[in-house]
Amino acid sequence: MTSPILEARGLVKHFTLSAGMLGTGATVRAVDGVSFSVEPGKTLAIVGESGSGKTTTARLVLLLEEPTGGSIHYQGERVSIDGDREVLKRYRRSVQAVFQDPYSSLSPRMRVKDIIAEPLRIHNDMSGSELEDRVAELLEEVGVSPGRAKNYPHQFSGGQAQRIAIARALALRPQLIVLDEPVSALDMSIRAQILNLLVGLQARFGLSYLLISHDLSMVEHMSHDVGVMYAGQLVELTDAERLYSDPQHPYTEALLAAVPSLDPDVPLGNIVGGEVANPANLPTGCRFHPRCPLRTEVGSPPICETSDPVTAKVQKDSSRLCACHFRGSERTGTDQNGPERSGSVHQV
Amino acid sequence: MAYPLGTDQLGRDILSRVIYGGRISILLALGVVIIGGAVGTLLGLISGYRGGATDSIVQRGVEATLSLPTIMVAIVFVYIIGQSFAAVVLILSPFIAASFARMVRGETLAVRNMQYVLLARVAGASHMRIILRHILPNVAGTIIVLATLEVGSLILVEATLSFLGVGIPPPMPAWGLMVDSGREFLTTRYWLTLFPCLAIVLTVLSINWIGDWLRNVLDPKQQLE
Amino acid sequence: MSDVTRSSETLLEVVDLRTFINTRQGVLKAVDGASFTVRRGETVGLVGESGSGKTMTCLSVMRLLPVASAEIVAGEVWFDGKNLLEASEAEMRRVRGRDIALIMQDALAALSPVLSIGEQVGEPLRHHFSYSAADVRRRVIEVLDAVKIPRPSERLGEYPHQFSGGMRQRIVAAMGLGTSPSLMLADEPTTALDVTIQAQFIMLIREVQESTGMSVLWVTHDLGVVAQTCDRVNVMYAGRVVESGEVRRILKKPLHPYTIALMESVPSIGTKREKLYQIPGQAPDLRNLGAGCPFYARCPARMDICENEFPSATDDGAGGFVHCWAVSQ
Repeated sequence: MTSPILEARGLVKHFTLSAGMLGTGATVRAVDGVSFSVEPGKTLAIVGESGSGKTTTARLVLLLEEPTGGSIHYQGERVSIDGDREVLKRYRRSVQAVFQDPYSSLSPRMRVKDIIAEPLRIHNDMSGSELEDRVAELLEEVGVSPGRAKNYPHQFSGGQAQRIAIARALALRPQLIVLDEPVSALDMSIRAQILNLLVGLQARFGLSYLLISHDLSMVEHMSHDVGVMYAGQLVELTDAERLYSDPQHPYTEALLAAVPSLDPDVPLGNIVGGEVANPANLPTGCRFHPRCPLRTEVGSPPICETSDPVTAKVQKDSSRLCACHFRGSERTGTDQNGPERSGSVHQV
Repeated sequence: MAYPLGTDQLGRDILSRVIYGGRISILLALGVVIIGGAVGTLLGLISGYRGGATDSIVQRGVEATLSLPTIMVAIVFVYIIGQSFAAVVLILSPFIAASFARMVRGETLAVRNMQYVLLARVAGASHMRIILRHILPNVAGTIIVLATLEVGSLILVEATLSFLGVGIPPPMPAWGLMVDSGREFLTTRYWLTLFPCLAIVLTVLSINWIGDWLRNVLDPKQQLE
Repeated sequence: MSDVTRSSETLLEVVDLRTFINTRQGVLKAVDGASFTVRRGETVGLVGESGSGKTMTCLSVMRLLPVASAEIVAGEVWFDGKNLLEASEAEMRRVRGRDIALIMQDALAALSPVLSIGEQVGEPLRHHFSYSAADVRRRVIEVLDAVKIPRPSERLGEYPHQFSGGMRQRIVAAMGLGTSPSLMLADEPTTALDVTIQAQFIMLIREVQESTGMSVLWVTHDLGVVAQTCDRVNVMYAGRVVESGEVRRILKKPLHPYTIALMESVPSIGTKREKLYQIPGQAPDLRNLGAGCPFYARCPARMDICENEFPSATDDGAGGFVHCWAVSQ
């Protein structure tokens, strides 16, 4: 296995909600011990619903926030906002981002050519006609006519604006791009264009993607590996094929069951009740336990309430994970004979 | 016609006095807005961008200044220091600075979390670059509108101060002064007061309109395809 | 899909609806000849992207056009035997919020932050019926319970911000359901919700329909939601209904090139595709629509006649229709 291009180790981010003068505020445990790695040229998707912590994780990876704990490693070297300046500079060149709303991503008062040229100017890479050529090249790469470079963002459609945002992300020839809901704000018929573009660019330039999304269908289409987040933790991490064909964690099952199938004869699966866990007021033990159908199935044992499987289970391999006391090959100490899914033993 | 708007009680031509008075009033207003505006914008940008302790300190200062009654403070100050162009500029600038600082800080806070600013950080932009290239241009529109509003309001403040005798010293033909000295002739020779008043009103109105126009012109979204 | 016995009685019939908006750059044809029906107890989908006219259609049915420059210029909207477009404003006010309910995408915007949920859910009841305060309270609790808000009697005095996004959307639904409307217009009610919450909401609406026989016009861009909720579907493009039919027929055997393109361009779990089909070009300018088919410029099956003449309806053999020259061959 090649060494990963990006590694997150035990990332933690807690926010304190200030309560003003009346006592201390609550702690929002937005990200609580998340570890994963991205392989060169591959896409790792992080999926989750609201409150899962996936967006905060993306911001931590982009060094837009300082983690409360844990670390980020790029090509083996640790990077942080207040770390080595040279390392940080290299990181900034190599890791870029594309966000959800194309119009908010592009400064409304800058011309498109300046927007795309900015990263190059920041790093003093080029100037003058060389810069202009590079901008034209990038626009062509993403399918926008270079003649429109002097226009402003609002003069483009949503799809084109997102292409421009992608062109800017490509300017420094990064190794990894963080895609935060890259097509959610776009119309359906445009999404396909952008998704195809992203896949094409990955093949062409050997890019790695960290894809953050709530859209499970899109994720299946684009990803090699998938991590599922719930209430600030990664509860399952495995390759995409396996996740969709043979999900282990009850929450993953719940997510997949809830995605409405395009076949009217395939009904919605078992809908899990309750609300998404509130990161400011988490359940004890396993964060999913109040809603977990598996727990009910196995007779509501106390371990789900007392022990958090994310910390209780030893992770041998940072590329495979299933944080459940009753699923996955690594069992927590006490319950060796916990129920498995009928038939096979699963090698996680 | 030698004196188209008539003469005042000392025989001076009102038209030329209105025109010269205008020059002085506008000069003063512009001066204060430029000095106070520059300082205020700087404070607002830094305070809004950095947040934390810096922000709190600047904010307290701004709030304190804005809770003072401008005219009263100006009266006392000029009374103590003595009337002069410089004195008036000196005492009015902090109030303008505070007003700009508060406005710019608010806008900076909004722009700072915009996605394009975050992406500039991701690309490795320095703080200076972000402030100058991203925040300032997107705040410029509001600054200009505020500046024109303040110029208008300063002309009125200056007129008030001169009217009360603590503004620009005579014999400089300040409009407020002209209004004041024309007071005793209000019933008989009302034009001594009327014309400087009209001048004030028309000037302030025009400046506001210019501000509106400027803001529209500078907004790229207004340039329709 | 549901057990409700449906009479084939038509509850809503929209005939050739045209809603135009006057802009500085010309007349924007938001809805340009839309026709469809909703029967009692039925769930009908209205599918399209932004600019397709689906929201404006809903608002036109309710005669709640958002801007002064918008006008319904032609068509008929038959609801329960009456043409709403000819009704007086007073008559419309009796229909709105009582016989026809409208819920939209952004629950937070639909709820006033300064009124308690008890007050807001009760408002349509107070407006339309002369209930006593006790009756209103009882009904509000009943309907909040029906939408599965836990412990409703205790929470009547709470405010919208004290509820999660999913619950807020259910409260909005409760506001609409209190008067037992016969038709609910649901404009993208689940688009902003998490997928598990969306699933809960879909099931909830289904249950309400099963117990009350209410019809729903479900407006969405999500074909999966359509598959799981609708009996029949209308596909809209540039202000017109271009295809209509039974949900199974539409999803398994789409006829209109736009419908086909849409289905090929959307990733779906289980169907692995190398490359998603990309519809070339962009949505048409609604201010510059010609007399021909609005999909002409992007259609892989286009022919000369398509440019100049909008296709007449072709029967699909199963109670639906499609407007396409290529299909009518």
